[in-house]
Amino acid sequence: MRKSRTILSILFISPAIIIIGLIIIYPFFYNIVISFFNTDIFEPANNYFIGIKNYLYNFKSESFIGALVNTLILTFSSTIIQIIIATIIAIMLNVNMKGRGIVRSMYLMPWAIGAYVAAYIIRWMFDLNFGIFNQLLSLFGFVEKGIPWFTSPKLAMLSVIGAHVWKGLPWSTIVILAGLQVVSNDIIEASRVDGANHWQEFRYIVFPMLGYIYMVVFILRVIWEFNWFDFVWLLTRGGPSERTLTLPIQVYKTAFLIHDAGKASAIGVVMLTFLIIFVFIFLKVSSTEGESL
Amino acid sequence: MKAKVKIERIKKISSIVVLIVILFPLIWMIYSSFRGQSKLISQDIKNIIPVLDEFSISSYKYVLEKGMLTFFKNSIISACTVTLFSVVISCMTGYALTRLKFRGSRIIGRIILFTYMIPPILIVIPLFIVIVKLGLNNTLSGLILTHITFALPFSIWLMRGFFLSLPPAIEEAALIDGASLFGAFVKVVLPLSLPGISSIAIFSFILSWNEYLFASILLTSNRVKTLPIGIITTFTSDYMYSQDWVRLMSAAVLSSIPVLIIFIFLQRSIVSGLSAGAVKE
Repeated sequence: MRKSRTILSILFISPAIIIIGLIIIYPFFYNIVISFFNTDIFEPANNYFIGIKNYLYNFKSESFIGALVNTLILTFSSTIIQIIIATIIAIMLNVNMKGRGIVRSMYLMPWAIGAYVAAYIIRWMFDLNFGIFNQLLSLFGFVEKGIPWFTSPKLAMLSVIGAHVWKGLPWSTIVILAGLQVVSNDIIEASRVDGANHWQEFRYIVFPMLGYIYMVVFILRVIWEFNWFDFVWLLTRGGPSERTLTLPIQVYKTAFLIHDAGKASAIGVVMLTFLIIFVFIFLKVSSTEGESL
Repeated sequence: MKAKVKIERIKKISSIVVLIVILFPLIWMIYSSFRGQSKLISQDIKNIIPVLDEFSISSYKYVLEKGMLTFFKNSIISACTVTLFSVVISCMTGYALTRLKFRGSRIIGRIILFTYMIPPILIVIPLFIVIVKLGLNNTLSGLILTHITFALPFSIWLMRGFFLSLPPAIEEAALIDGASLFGAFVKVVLPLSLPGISSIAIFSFILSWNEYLFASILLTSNRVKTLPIGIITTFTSDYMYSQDWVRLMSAAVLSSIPVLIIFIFLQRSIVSGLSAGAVKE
Protein backbone atom coordinates (compact mmCIF):
# COMPACT_ATOMS: atom_id res chain seq x y z
CA MET A 1 0.00 0.00 0.00
CA ARG A 2 2.73 2.47 0.95
CA LYS A 3 4.73 1.48 -2.07
CA SER A 4 1.85 2.07 -4.45
CA ARG A 5 1.26 5.43 -2.77
CA THR A 6 4.86 6.44 -3.46
CA ILE A 7 4.73 5.32 -7.09
CA LEU A 8 1.43 7.10 -7.66
CA SER A 9 2.64 10.31 -6.09
CA ILE A 10 5.79 10.31 -8.24
CA LEU A 11 3.67 9.69 -11.33
CA PHE A 12 1.21 12.40 -10.36
CA ILE A 13 3.66 15.09 -9.49
CA SER A 14 6.32 14.66 -12.15
CA PRO A 15 4.52 16.31 -15.11
CA ALA A 16 4.03 19.51 -13.13
CA ILE A 17 7.60 19.44 -11.80
CA ILE A 18 9.10 18.88 -15.25
CA ILE A 19 7.09 21.54 -17.02
CA ILE A 20 7.34 24.17 -14.27
CA GLY A 21 11.04 23.38 -13.95
CA LEU A 22 11.62 23.75 -17.67
CA ILE A 23 9.49 26.82 -18.33
CA ILE A 24 9.72 28.77 -15.05
CA ILE A 25 12.41 27.57 -12.63
CA TYR A 26 15.22 26.97 -15.13
CA PRO A 27 14.65 30.29 -16.96
CA PHE A 28 14.43 31.97 -13.56
CA PHE A 29 17.92 30.83 -12.50
CA TYR A 30 19.27 31.31 -16.01
CA ASN A 31 17.97 34.85 -15.80
CA ILE A 32 19.78 35.52 -12.52
CA VAL A 33 22.99 34.17 -14.08
CA ILE A 34 22.83 36.27 -17.24
CA SER A 35 22.13 39.41 -15.22
CA PHE A 36 25.87 39.21 -14.31
CA PHE A 37 26.94 38.80 -17.94
CA ASN A 38 27.20 41.01 -20.95
CA THR A 39 24.56 39.18 -22.94
CA ASP A 40 23.24 39.32 -26.45
CA ILE A 41 20.06 37.31 -26.78
CA PHE A 42 20.78 36.33 -30.39
CA GLU A 43 24.53 35.66 -29.98
CA PRO A 44 24.89 33.67 -26.71
CA ALA A 45 28.49 32.72 -27.68
CA ASN A 46 29.66 36.29 -27.14
CA ASN A 47 28.57 36.46 -23.49
CA TYR A 48 31.15 37.34 -20.87
CA PHE A 49 31.08 37.90 -17.11
CA ILE A 50 30.92 41.52 -15.97
CA GLY A 51 29.95 41.22 -12.30
CA ILE A 52 27.36 43.69 -11.08
CA LYS A 53 27.93 46.23 -13.86
CA ASN A 54 24.43 45.66 -15.27
CA TYR A 55 22.92 46.53 -11.89
CA LEU A 56 25.16 49.58 -11.47
CA TYR A 57 24.28 50.74 -14.96
CA ASN A 58 20.57 50.46 -14.22
CA PHE A 59 20.69 52.25 -10.90
CA LYS A 60 22.59 55.10 -12.53
CA SER A 61 20.14 55.32 -15.44
CA GLU A 62 17.38 57.91 -15.26
CA SER A 63 15.01 55.76 -17.29
CA PHE A 64 15.27 52.93 -14.79
CA ILE A 65 14.73 55.15 -11.73
CA GLY A 66 11.82 56.81 -13.53
CA ALA A 67 10.35 53.43 -14.41
CA LEU A 68 10.71 52.24 -10.82
CA VAL A 69 8.90 55.33 -9.48
CA ASN A 70 6.20 55.05 -12.17
CA THR A 71 5.65 51.38 -11.41
CA LEU A 72 5.28 52.02 -7.69
CA ILE A 73 2.90 54.94 -8.28
CA LEU A 74 0.81 52.97 -10.77
CA THR A 75 0.71 49.80 -8.66
CA PHE A 76 -0.21 51.32 -5.32
CA SER A 77 -2.51 54.09 -6.48
CA SER A 78 -4.53 51.86 -8.78
CA THR A 79 -4.73 49.11 -6.14
CA ILE A 80 -5.85 51.44 -3.36
CA ILE A 81 -8.37 53.40 -5.46
CA GLN A 82 -9.71 50.12 -6.79
CA ILE A 83 -10.20 48.60 -3.35
CA ILE A 84 -12.04 51.68 -2.06
CA ILE A 85 -14.43 51.83 -5.04
CA ALA A 86 -14.81 48.04 -5.02
CA THR A 87 -15.91 48.13 -1.38
CA ILE A 88 -18.62 50.70 -2.12
CA ILE A 89 -19.88 48.75 -5.14
CA ALA A 90 -19.73 45.44 -3.26
CA ILE A 91 -21.99 46.88 -0.56
CA MET A 92 -24.40 48.01 -3.28
CA LEU A 93 -24.38 44.66 -5.00
CA ASN A 94 -24.94 42.83 -1.72
CA VAL A 95 -28.70 42.82 -2.07
CA ASN A 96 -31.27 40.24 -3.02
CA MET A 97 -32.57 41.01 -6.46
CA LYS A 98 -33.82 39.22 -9.52
CA GLY A 99 -31.07 38.18 -11.92
CA ARG A 100 -28.35 38.67 -9.33
CA GLY A 101 -26.11 36.06 -10.95
CA ILE A 102 -26.36 37.59 -14.39
CA VAL A 103 -25.66 41.08 -13.01
CA ARG A 104 -22.51 39.76 -11.38
CA SER A 105 -21.20 37.99 -14.43
CA MET A 106 -21.95 41.02 -16.63
CA TYR A 107 -20.13 43.09 -14.08
CA LEU A 108 -17.03 40.88 -14.48
CA MET A 109 -16.81 41.45 -18.24
CA PRO A 110 -14.17 44.22 -18.24
CA TRP A 111 -11.96 41.91 -16.22
CA ALA A 112 -12.62 38.94 -18.50
CA ILE A 113 -11.88 40.52 -21.87
CA GLY A 114 -8.27 40.60 -23.03
CA ALA A 115 -6.04 43.47 -21.94
CA TYR A 116 -5.35 44.10 -25.62
CA VAL A 117 -9.06 44.54 -26.33
CA ALA A 118 -9.48 46.79 -23.31
CA ALA A 119 -6.45 48.89 -24.23
CA TYR A 120 -7.72 49.61 -27.73
CA ILE A 121 -11.30 50.31 -26.62
CA ILE A 122 -9.96 52.87 -24.17
CA ARG A 123 -7.62 54.41 -26.72
CA TRP A 124 -10.56 54.71 -29.06
CA MET A 125 -12.90 56.22 -26.48
CA PHE A 126 -10.27 58.73 -25.38
CA ASP A 127 -9.00 59.49 -28.88
CA LEU A 128 -7.97 63.13 -29.20
CA ASN A 129 -10.38 64.15 -31.97
CA PHE A 130 -12.91 61.40 -32.54
CA GLY A 131 -13.17 59.74 -29.14
CA ILE A 132 -16.62 59.79 -27.56
CA PHE A 133 -15.26 61.23 -24.32
CA ASN A 134 -13.75 64.35 -25.85
CA GLN A 135 -16.75 64.76 -28.13
CA LEU A 136 -19.15 64.68 -25.19
CA LEU A 137 -16.99 67.13 -23.25
CA SER A 138 -17.06 69.60 -26.12
CA LEU A 139 -20.75 68.95 -26.80
CA PHE A 140 -21.56 70.14 -23.30
CA GLY A 141 -19.08 72.98 -23.65
CA PHE A 142 -16.56 71.90 -21.04
CA VAL A 143 -13.65 72.11 -23.45
CA GLU A 144 -13.02 73.74 -26.81
CA LYS A 145 -10.39 71.35 -28.08
CA GLY A 146 -10.04 67.65 -27.30
CA ILE A 147 -7.97 66.70 -24.28
CA PRO A 148 -4.94 64.48 -25.12
CA TRP A 149 -5.64 61.97 -22.33
CA PHE A 150 -2.94 59.46 -23.17
CA THR A 151 -0.55 61.61 -25.14
CA SER A 152 0.08 64.58 -22.89
CA PRO A 153 2.94 64.12 -20.40
CA LYS A 154 0.86 65.61 -17.61
CA LEU A 155 -2.24 63.47 -18.00
CA ALA A 156 -0.88 60.16 -19.29
CA MET A 157 -0.13 58.60 -15.91
CA LEU A 158 -3.52 59.63 -14.47
CA SER A 159 -5.29 58.17 -17.50
CA VAL A 160 -3.33 54.92 -17.24
CA ILE A 161 -4.21 54.67 -13.54
CA GLY A 162 -7.88 55.23 -14.43
CA ALA A 163 -7.73 52.49 -17.06
CA HIS A 164 -6.12 50.07 -14.61
CA VAL A 165 -8.76 50.81 -11.97
CA TRP A 166 -11.54 50.10 -14.48
CA LYS A 167 -9.96 46.83 -15.66
CA GLY A 168 -9.23 45.45 -12.19
CA LEU A 169 -12.27 46.77 -10.35
CA PRO A 170 -14.64 43.89 -11.23
CA TRP A 171 -12.36 41.23 -9.78
CA SER A 172 -11.77 43.11 -6.53
CA THR A 173 -15.48 43.84 -6.17
CA ILE A 174 -16.61 40.26 -6.67
CA VAL A 175 -14.05 38.90 -4.20
CA ILE A 176 -14.94 41.52 -1.55
CA LEU A 177 -18.62 40.80 -2.21
CA ALA A 178 -17.99 37.09 -1.62
CA GLY A 179 -16.43 38.06 1.69
CA LEU A 180 -19.39 40.25 2.65
CA GLN A 181 -21.78 37.41 1.97
CA VAL A 182 -19.90 34.92 4.08
CA VAL A 183 -20.05 37.38 6.93
CA SER A 184 -23.50 38.78 6.49
CA ASN A 185 -25.73 35.75 6.68
CA ASP A 186 -25.50 33.04 9.31
CA ILE A 187 -22.69 34.27 11.48
CA ILE A 188 -24.16 37.66 12.29
CA GLU A 189 -27.47 36.10 13.25
CA ALA A 190 -25.65 33.62 15.46
CA SER A 191 -23.79 36.46 17.16
CA ARG A 192 -27.06 38.33 17.72
CA VAL A 193 -28.50 35.25 19.35
CA ASP A 194 -25.44 35.24 21.58
CA GLY A 195 -26.19 38.85 22.52
CA ALA A 196 -23.53 40.74 20.56
CA ASN A 197 -24.16 44.43 19.97
CA HIS A 198 -23.46 46.21 16.66
CA TRP A 199 -19.98 47.31 17.64
CA GLN A 200 -18.96 43.85 18.83
CA GLU A 201 -20.43 42.37 15.69
CA PHE A 202 -18.23 44.60 13.56
CA ARG A 203 -15.13 44.42 15.70
CA TYR A 204 -15.05 40.66 16.32
CA ILE A 205 -16.83 39.22 13.29
CA VAL A 206 -17.03 41.41 10.20
CA PHE A 207 -13.65 43.05 10.55
CA PRO A 208 -11.49 39.95 11.13
CA MET A 209 -13.15 38.08 8.27
CA LEU A 210 -13.02 40.95 5.82
CA GLY A 211 -9.52 41.77 7.04
CA TYR A 212 -8.36 38.49 5.57
CA ILE A 213 -10.16 39.16 2.29
CA TYR A 214 -8.64 42.62 2.02
CA MET A 215 -5.22 41.19 2.66
CA VAL A 216 -5.59 38.65 -0.15
CA VAL A 217 -7.05 41.22 -2.55
CA PHE A 218 -4.31 43.71 -1.75
CA ILE A 219 -1.41 41.25 -2.13
CA LEU A 220 -2.70 39.68 -5.34
CA ARG A 221 -3.57 43.00 -6.93
CA VAL A 222 -0.18 44.48 -6.08
CA ILE A 223 1.59 41.45 -7.58
CA TRP A 224 -0.52 41.63 -10.74
CA GLU A 225 -0.34 45.37 -11.25
CA PHE A 226 3.39 45.36 -10.58
CA ASN A 227 4.06 42.64 -13.16
CA TRP A 228 1.50 43.78 -15.69
CA PHE A 229 3.08 44.37 -19.08
CA ASP A 230 0.62 44.31 -21.96
CA PHE A 231 -2.03 46.77 -20.77
CA VAL A 232 0.30 49.76 -20.32
CA TRP A 233 2.38 48.72 -23.32
CA LEU A 234 -0.63 48.76 -25.62
CA LEU A 235 -2.10 51.92 -24.08
CA THR A 236 0.95 54.17 -24.29
CA ARG A 237 4.11 52.13 -25.14
CA GLY A 238 5.53 53.76 -22.01
CA GLY A 239 5.24 57.23 -23.50
CA PRO A 240 4.90 60.17 -23.81
CA SER A 241 8.54 60.94 -22.94
CA GLU A 242 8.69 57.93 -20.60
CA ARG A 243 5.95 59.31 -18.34
CA THR A 244 4.21 55.94 -18.16
CA LEU A 245 7.30 53.80 -18.59
CA THR A 246 7.05 50.90 -16.14
CA LEU A 247 9.61 48.28 -15.18
CA PRO A 248 8.09 45.46 -17.30
CA ILE A 249 8.17 47.78 -20.34
CA GLN A 250 11.75 48.73 -19.55
CA VAL A 251 12.68 45.02 -19.43
CA TYR A 252 10.94 44.38 -22.74
CA LYS A 253 12.54 47.36 -24.49
CA THR A 254 16.02 46.57 -23.17
CA ALA A 255 15.78 42.91 -24.14
CA PHE A 256 14.00 43.03 -27.47
CA LEU A 257 14.67 46.49 -28.89
CA ILE A 258 18.23 47.09 -27.62
CA HIS A 259 19.04 43.35 -27.39
CA ASP A 260 20.85 43.75 -24.08
CA ALA A 261 19.48 40.71 -22.23
CA GLY A 262 21.94 41.15 -19.34
CA LYS A 263 20.68 44.60 -18.36
CA ALA A 264 17.08 43.51 -18.92
CA SER A 265 17.53 40.50 -16.64
CA ALA A 266 19.07 42.71 -13.98
CA ILE A 267 15.91 44.88 -14.02
CA GLY A 268 13.81 41.72 -13.73
CA VAL A 269 15.79 40.55 -10.72
CA VAL A 270 15.33 43.95 -9.05
CA MET A 271 11.57 43.70 -9.71
CA LEU A 272 11.32 40.31 -8.10
CA THR A 273 13.38 41.47 -5.12
CA PHE A 274 10.97 44.37 -4.60
CA LEU A 275 7.97 42.04 -4.76
CA ILE A 276 9.45 39.54 -2.33
CA ILE A 277 10.31 42.30 0.16
CA PHE A 278 6.81 43.76 -0.19
CA VAL A 279 5.02 40.44 0.34
CA PHE A 280 7.30 39.54 3.25
CA ILE A 281 6.82 42.87 5.06
CA PHE A 282 3.10 42.87 4.35
CA LEU A 283 2.62 39.36 5.74
CA LYS A 284 4.75 40.20 8.80
CA VAL A 285 2.81 43.38 9.54
CA SER A 286 -0.58 41.80 9.03
CA SER A 287 0.30 38.73 11.09
CA THR A 288 1.29 40.90 14.06
CA GLU A 289 -2.24 42.28 13.94
CA GLY A 290 -3.57 38.85 14.77
CA GLU A 291 -4.13 37.56 11.26
CA SER A 292 -2.30 34.70 9.65
CA LEU A 293 -2.28 33.22 6.21
CA MET B 1 -38.61 48.50 8.46
CA LYS B 2 -39.69 51.05 5.83
CA ALA B 3 -36.22 52.63 5.89
CA LYS B 4 -34.71 49.24 5.19
CA VAL B 5 -36.87 48.71 2.12
CA LYS B 6 -35.89 52.16 0.90
CA ILE B 7 -32.18 51.40 1.30
CA GLU B 8 -32.62 48.13 -0.61
CA ARG B 9 -34.28 49.99 -3.45
CA ILE B 10 -31.50 52.62 -3.61
CA LYS B 11 -28.94 49.82 -3.67
CA LYS B 12 -30.73 48.05 -6.53
CA ILE B 13 -31.01 51.17 -8.67
CA SER B 14 -27.45 52.27 -8.02
CA SER B 15 -26.07 48.82 -8.80
CA ILE B 16 -27.74 48.94 -12.23
CA VAL B 17 -26.33 52.43 -12.84
CA VAL B 18 -22.85 51.28 -11.85
CA LEU B 19 -23.18 48.26 -14.12
CA ILE B 20 -23.99 50.48 -17.10
CA VAL B 21 -21.07 52.81 -16.36
CA ILE B 22 -18.62 49.93 -15.98
CA LEU B 23 -19.87 48.24 -19.14
CA PHE B 24 -20.06 51.40 -21.23
CA PRO B 25 -16.69 50.86 -22.95
CA LEU B 26 -17.83 47.41 -24.09
CA ILE B 27 -21.17 48.76 -25.31
CA TRP B 28 -19.26 51.45 -27.18
CA MET B 29 -16.98 48.83 -28.72
CA ILE B 30 -19.97 46.91 -30.10
CA TYR B 31 -21.73 50.06 -31.27
CA SER B 32 -18.61 51.41 -33.04
CA SER B 33 -17.98 48.11 -34.78
CA PHE B 34 -21.25 48.42 -36.73
CA ARG B 35 -20.68 51.91 -38.06
CA GLY B 36 -19.46 53.15 -41.42
CA GLN B 37 -15.93 54.44 -41.36
CA SER B 38 -16.62 57.85 -42.94
CA LYS B 39 -19.30 58.83 -40.44
CA LEU B 40 -17.15 57.83 -37.48
CA ILE B 41 -14.21 59.97 -38.46
CA SER B 42 -16.16 63.17 -38.84
CA GLN B 43 -15.85 65.71 -36.09
CA ASP B 44 -19.46 66.71 -36.45
CA ILE B 45 -21.04 66.26 -33.06
CA LYS B 46 -24.23 64.75 -34.48
CA ASN B 47 -22.25 61.68 -35.41
CA ILE B 48 -21.81 60.44 -31.88
CA ILE B 49 -25.52 59.88 -31.51
CA PRO B 50 -26.64 56.41 -32.55
CA VAL B 51 -28.40 56.35 -35.89
CA LEU B 52 -29.78 53.10 -37.24
CA ASP B 53 -29.38 53.71 -40.96
CA GLU B 54 -25.63 53.85 -40.55
CA PHE B 55 -25.63 50.22 -39.54
CA SER B 56 -23.01 48.33 -41.54
CA ILE B 57 -21.28 44.99 -41.27
CA SER B 58 -18.68 45.75 -43.93
CA SER B 59 -15.88 45.97 -41.37
CA TYR B 60 -16.74 42.47 -40.10
CA LYS B 61 -16.48 41.15 -43.65
CA TYR B 62 -13.14 42.89 -44.03
CA VAL B 63 -11.55 41.48 -40.86
CA LEU B 64 -12.85 37.99 -41.58
CA GLU B 65 -11.25 38.10 -45.02
CA LYS B 66 -7.96 39.42 -43.65
CA GLY B 67 -6.99 36.44 -41.51
CA MET B 68 -9.37 36.63 -38.52
CA LEU B 69 -10.46 33.03 -39.14
CA THR B 70 -6.89 31.71 -38.94
CA PHE B 71 -6.22 33.62 -35.71
CA PHE B 72 -9.51 32.36 -34.33
CA LYS B 73 -8.66 28.76 -35.18
CA ASN B 74 -5.20 29.08 -33.60
CA SER B 75 -6.67 30.61 -30.46
CA ILE B 76 -9.26 27.84 -30.17
CA ILE B 77 -6.60 25.13 -30.56
CA SER B 78 -4.30 26.84 -28.08
CA ALA B 79 -6.94 27.62 -25.44
CA CYS B 80 -8.56 24.16 -25.58
CA THR B 81 -5.26 22.29 -25.36
CA VAL B 82 -4.08 24.50 -22.52
CA THR B 83 -7.35 23.93 -20.66
CA LEU B 84 -7.16 20.14 -21.06
CA PHE B 85 -3.55 19.82 -19.89
CA SER B 86 -3.88 22.36 -17.14
CA VAL B 87 -6.92 20.56 -15.68
CA VAL B 88 -5.34 17.09 -15.86
CA ILE B 89 -1.96 18.14 -14.47
CA SER B 90 -3.31 20.34 -11.70
CA CYS B 91 -5.75 17.64 -10.53
CA MET B 92 -2.92 15.12 -10.37
CA THR B 93 -0.51 17.46 -8.65
CA GLY B 94 -3.08 18.90 -6.27
CA TYR B 95 -4.09 15.39 -5.26
CA ALA B 96 -0.49 14.23 -4.78
CA LEU B 97 0.25 17.28 -2.63
CA THR B 98 -2.75 16.85 -0.34
CA ARG B 99 -3.54 13.15 -0.15
CA LEU B 100 -0.50 11.16 -1.18
CA LYS B 101 1.67 12.95 1.37
CA PHE B 102 5.31 12.23 0.66
CA ARG B 103 8.63 13.66 1.77
CA GLY B 104 9.09 17.11 0.31
CA SER B 105 5.41 17.62 -0.60
CA ARG B 106 5.25 20.76 1.58
CA ILE B 107 8.32 22.32 0.02
CA ILE B 108 7.12 21.50 -3.50
CA GLY B 109 3.79 23.14 -2.71
CA ARG B 110 5.60 26.26 -1.51
CA ILE B 111 7.80 26.40 -4.62
CA ILE B 112 4.77 26.14 -6.88
CA LEU B 113 3.11 29.00 -5.01
CA PHE B 114 6.31 31.05 -5.25
CA THR B 115 6.41 30.67 -9.03
CA TYR B 116 3.10 32.55 -9.05
CA MET B 117 4.99 35.67 -7.93
CA ILE B 118 7.72 35.58 -10.58
CA PRO B 119 7.09 38.36 -13.12
CA PRO B 120 6.33 36.78 -16.53
CA ILE B 121 8.47 39.49 -18.11
CA LEU B 122 11.43 38.13 -16.13
CA ILE B 123 10.98 34.70 -17.71
CA VAL B 124 10.52 35.96 -21.23
CA ILE B 125 14.20 36.29 -22.20
CA PRO B 126 15.50 32.88 -21.06
CA LEU B 127 12.23 31.21 -22.07
CA PHE B 128 12.75 32.49 -25.59
CA ILE B 129 16.17 30.79 -25.57
CA VAL B 130 14.70 27.52 -24.18
CA ILE B 131 11.93 27.48 -26.77
CA VAL B 132 14.41 28.14 -29.58
CA LYS B 133 16.61 25.29 -28.29
CA LEU B 134 13.60 22.96 -28.30
CA GLY B 135 12.91 24.05 -31.89
CA LEU B 136 9.46 25.31 -30.89
CA ASN B 137 9.74 28.98 -31.79
CA ASN B 138 7.08 30.18 -34.17
CA THR B 139 4.93 27.11 -33.45
CA LEU B 140 1.67 26.88 -31.60
CA SER B 141 3.11 24.04 -29.46
CA GLY B 142 5.73 26.35 -27.96
CA LEU B 143 3.06 28.86 -27.00
CA ILE B 144 0.77 26.14 -25.63
CA LEU B 145 3.59 24.74 -23.47
CA THR B 146 4.22 28.22 -22.06
CA HIS B 147 0.56 28.92 -21.37
CA ILE B 148 0.07 25.59 -19.60
CA THR B 149 2.99 26.37 -17.33
CA PHE B 150 1.68 29.80 -16.44
CA ALA B 151 -1.79 28.42 -15.75
CA LEU B 152 -0.45 25.70 -13.45
CA PRO B 153 0.63 27.51 -10.24
CA PHE B 154 -2.81 29.06 -9.67
CA SER B 155 -4.70 25.96 -10.81
CA ILE B 156 -2.68 23.62 -8.60
CA TRP B 157 -3.17 25.98 -5.67
CA LEU B 158 -6.93 26.04 -6.23
CA MET B 159 -7.25 22.25 -6.64
CA ARG B 160 -5.09 21.69 -3.57
CA GLY B 161 -7.49 23.84 -1.57
CA PHE B 162 -10.41 21.97 -3.05
CA PHE B 163 -9.04 18.50 -2.21
CA LEU B 164 -8.27 19.67 1.32
CA SER B 165 -11.94 20.54 1.79
CA LEU B 166 -13.11 17.01 0.81
CA PRO B 167 -13.34 14.63 3.77
CA PRO B 168 -10.73 11.81 3.45
CA ALA B 169 -13.34 9.31 4.71
CA ILE B 170 -14.89 9.25 1.24
CA GLU B 171 -11.85 7.69 -0.42
CA GLU B 172 -11.07 5.52 2.57
CA ALA B 173 -14.48 3.93 2.13
CA ALA B 174 -13.73 3.29 -1.54
CA LEU B 175 -10.36 1.76 -0.66
CA ILE B 176 -11.98 -0.56 1.88
CA ASP B 177 -14.45 -1.60 -0.81
CA GLY B 178 -11.46 -2.82 -2.82
CA ALA B 179 -10.76 0.09 -5.17
CA SER B 180 -7.15 0.88 -6.03
CA LEU B 181 -5.71 4.27 -5.08
CA PHE B 182 -5.91 5.42 -8.67
CA GLY B 183 -9.44 4.00 -9.02
CA ALA B 184 -10.57 5.86 -5.91
CA PHE B 185 -9.08 9.06 -7.30
CA VAL B 186 -10.78 8.76 -10.69
CA LYS B 187 -14.12 7.32 -9.63
CA VAL B 188 -14.71 8.98 -6.26
CA VAL B 189 -12.58 12.09 -5.80
CA LEU B 190 -12.72 13.63 -9.29
CA PRO B 191 -16.54 13.57 -9.67
CA LEU B 192 -16.81 15.38 -6.34
CA SER B 193 -14.31 17.99 -7.52
CA LEU B 194 -16.23 19.15 -10.58
CA PRO B 195 -16.87 22.70 -9.27
CA GLY B 196 -13.15 23.21 -8.71
CA ILE B 197 -12.31 21.65 -12.06
CA SER B 198 -14.70 23.93 -13.94
CA SER B 199 -13.17 26.98 -12.25
CA ILE B 200 -9.64 26.11 -13.29
CA ALA B 201 -10.81 25.15 -16.77
CA ILE B 202 -12.36 28.60 -17.27
CA PHE B 203 -9.32 30.28 -15.76
CA SER B 204 -6.89 28.40 -18.03
CA PHE B 205 -9.00 28.95 -21.14
CA ILE B 206 -9.21 32.70 -20.59
CA LEU B 207 -5.52 32.96 -19.70
CA SER B 208 -4.55 31.37 -22.99
CA TRP B 209 -7.23 33.18 -25.00
CA ASN B 210 -6.12 36.65 -23.87
CA GLU B 211 -2.36 36.18 -23.50
CA TYR B 212 -0.37 38.73 -25.48
CA LEU B 213 3.24 38.94 -24.20
CA PHE B 214 4.47 35.42 -24.94
CA ALA B 215 2.45 35.19 -28.14
CA SER B 216 4.06 38.38 -29.40
CA ILE B 217 7.54 37.03 -28.77
CA LEU B 218 7.13 33.39 -29.79
CA LEU B 219 4.90 33.73 -32.86
CA THR B 220 6.17 35.58 -35.90
CA SER B 221 4.28 34.27 -38.92
CA ASN B 222 0.61 34.99 -39.56
CA ARG B 223 -0.11 31.30 -40.05
CA VAL B 224 0.41 30.51 -36.35
CA LYS B 225 -0.63 33.77 -34.68
CA THR B 226 -3.35 33.72 -32.03
CA LEU B 227 -5.99 36.45 -31.75
CA PRO B 228 -4.20 38.98 -29.49
CA ILE B 229 -1.03 39.19 -31.53
CA GLY B 230 -2.77 38.58 -34.86
CA ILE B 231 -5.26 41.41 -34.34
CA ILE B 232 -2.59 43.83 -33.19
CA THR B 233 -0.19 43.16 -36.04
CA THR B 234 -2.91 43.12 -38.70
CA PHE B 235 -5.50 45.68 -37.66
CA THR B 236 -3.66 48.34 -35.69
CA SER B 237 -1.33 51.05 -36.82
CA ASP B 238 1.35 52.84 -34.84
CA TYR B 239 0.34 56.13 -36.41
CA MET B 240 -2.50 57.75 -34.57
CA TYR B 241 -4.18 59.20 -37.64
CA SER B 242 -4.18 56.06 -39.74
CA GLN B 243 -5.88 53.92 -37.11
CA ASP B 244 -8.96 52.22 -38.56
CA TRP B 245 -11.08 52.09 -35.43
CA VAL B 246 -14.17 50.48 -36.92
CA ARG B 247 -12.27 47.47 -38.24
CA LEU B 248 -10.28 47.18 -35.05
CA MET B 249 -13.47 47.26 -32.95
CA SER B 250 -15.06 44.57 -35.15
CA ALA B 251 -12.03 42.34 -34.63
CA ALA B 252 -12.17 43.08 -30.90
CA VAL B 253 -15.86 42.13 -30.73
CA LEU B 254 -15.28 38.86 -32.60
CA SER B 255 -12.36 37.92 -30.37
CA SER B 256 -14.32 38.67 -27.19
CA ILE B 257 -17.40 36.61 -28.10
CA PRO B 258 -16.18 33.27 -26.64
CA VAL B 259 -15.22 34.96 -23.38
CA LEU B 260 -18.60 36.67 -23.15
CA ILE B 261 -20.39 33.37 -23.83
CA ILE B 262 -18.38 31.58 -21.16
CA PHE B 263 -19.16 34.31 -18.66
CA ILE B 264 -22.87 34.32 -19.32
CA PHE B 265 -23.34 30.55 -19.26
CA LEU B 266 -20.87 29.54 -16.60
CA GLN B 267 -21.20 32.51 -14.27
CA ARG B 268 -21.88 30.40 -11.21
CA SER B 269 -18.59 28.51 -11.32
CA ILE B 270 -16.68 31.68 -12.12
CA VAL B 271 -17.93 33.58 -9.12
CA SER B 272 -17.43 30.59 -6.80
CA GLY B 273 -13.98 29.91 -8.27
CA LEU B 274 -12.90 33.49 -7.72
CA SER B 275 -14.06 33.36 -4.15
CA ALA B 276 -12.49 29.96 -3.50
CA GLY B 277 -9.07 31.53 -3.90
CA ALA B 278 -9.74 34.22 -1.38
CA VAL B 279 -12.42 33.18 1.11
CA LYS B 280 -11.15 31.22 4.06
CA GLU B 281 -12.96 27.92 4.51
